[in-house]
Amino acid sequence: MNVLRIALNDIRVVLKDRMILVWWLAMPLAFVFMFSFMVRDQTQDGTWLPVVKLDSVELADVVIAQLRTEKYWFDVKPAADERYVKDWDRALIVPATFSQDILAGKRVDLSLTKGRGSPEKYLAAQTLLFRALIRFNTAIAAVDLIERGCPSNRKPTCSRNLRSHPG
Amino acid sequence: MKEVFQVVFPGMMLMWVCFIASGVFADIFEEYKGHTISRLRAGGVTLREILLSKMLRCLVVCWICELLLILFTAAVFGVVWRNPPMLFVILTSFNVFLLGLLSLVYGYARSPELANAITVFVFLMAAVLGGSFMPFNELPAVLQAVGRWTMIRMANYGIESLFQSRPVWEALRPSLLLAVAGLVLAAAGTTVLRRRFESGRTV
Repeated sequence: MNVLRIALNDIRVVLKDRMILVWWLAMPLAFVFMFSFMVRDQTQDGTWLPVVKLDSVELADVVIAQLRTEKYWFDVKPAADERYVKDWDRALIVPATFSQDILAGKRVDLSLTKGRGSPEKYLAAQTLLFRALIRFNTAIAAVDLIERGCPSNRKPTCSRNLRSHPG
Repeated sequence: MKEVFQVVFPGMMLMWVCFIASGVFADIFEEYKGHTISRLRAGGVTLREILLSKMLRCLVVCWICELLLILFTAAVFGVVWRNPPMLFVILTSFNVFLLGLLSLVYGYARSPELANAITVFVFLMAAVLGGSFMPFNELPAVLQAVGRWTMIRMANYGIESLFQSRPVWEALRPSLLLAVAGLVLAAAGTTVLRRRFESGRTV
């Protein structure tokens, strides 16, 4: 009982000091503001796009590298985190057979899931994904041409397909 | 802005709470020098009770500080703090660990000033490695491996798990570790502090 009585009295004394609002609220918030703006370069307007990588082969990293731009913050998650996808605002899933299918010349579908987040940010993520896929397909086609010995000035007929599959 | 706050804010809040708790805890020595503790003891209160009351005060101060920051960020910036009971458990286990650590450091350090210097160093290291200054996932792998075991990361992981709706057990596991470690440290710290005050060695 003594413990509670002394503690309550101490707290009453502490709370009488108006400066605590500065130390307990204003200062931490000011500090967070300052660092938020520093981190903002990485998160850029808060657009967070988690990428669940189910494929461990390097080719999956290449497509993720194509996604990385200054405007978004990519959070590459392990396969085990796939179960949380339904709770995220949005997420890109790189399938387990990604590299295998690309190398076999098969069509690959990437999934961009849609959660409760802002539709504008989803659209922005979708646009970014399309741009990255175009870059990736271009690179794949160029490699394909080199492999097949096609001259670079001829129209490519042997490129492989990679498409995004929203939702 | 909301998402930026969800990424950065919990780590920052935990770091700030560490410093506030340290300042409040150090007041015990001021009270000892000002004979407040002697007066309480003359009134029949044991030293153990006094120390426990000071630790309880520190715990309540941490709660108030966290509550203010959570309410403010929720009201002004729209940060969605999911599962309040779980959040309370996570923050309480963090606060208990903090109190245990502080009592041990202040109990063993040669002077309160030295203890203050040690805690500042420990808290800054924990903040840097625990992802208070930048998203934890962006840290190099080596720092992540070390930082995973800091109290700030363990509590932050729990909060992050709530934000991402991970299973309850996953959010609670590091917090339980923190709580158990905190209770052990607090028990040891109280004993050390009690011996210190009984021997009259405060400086």
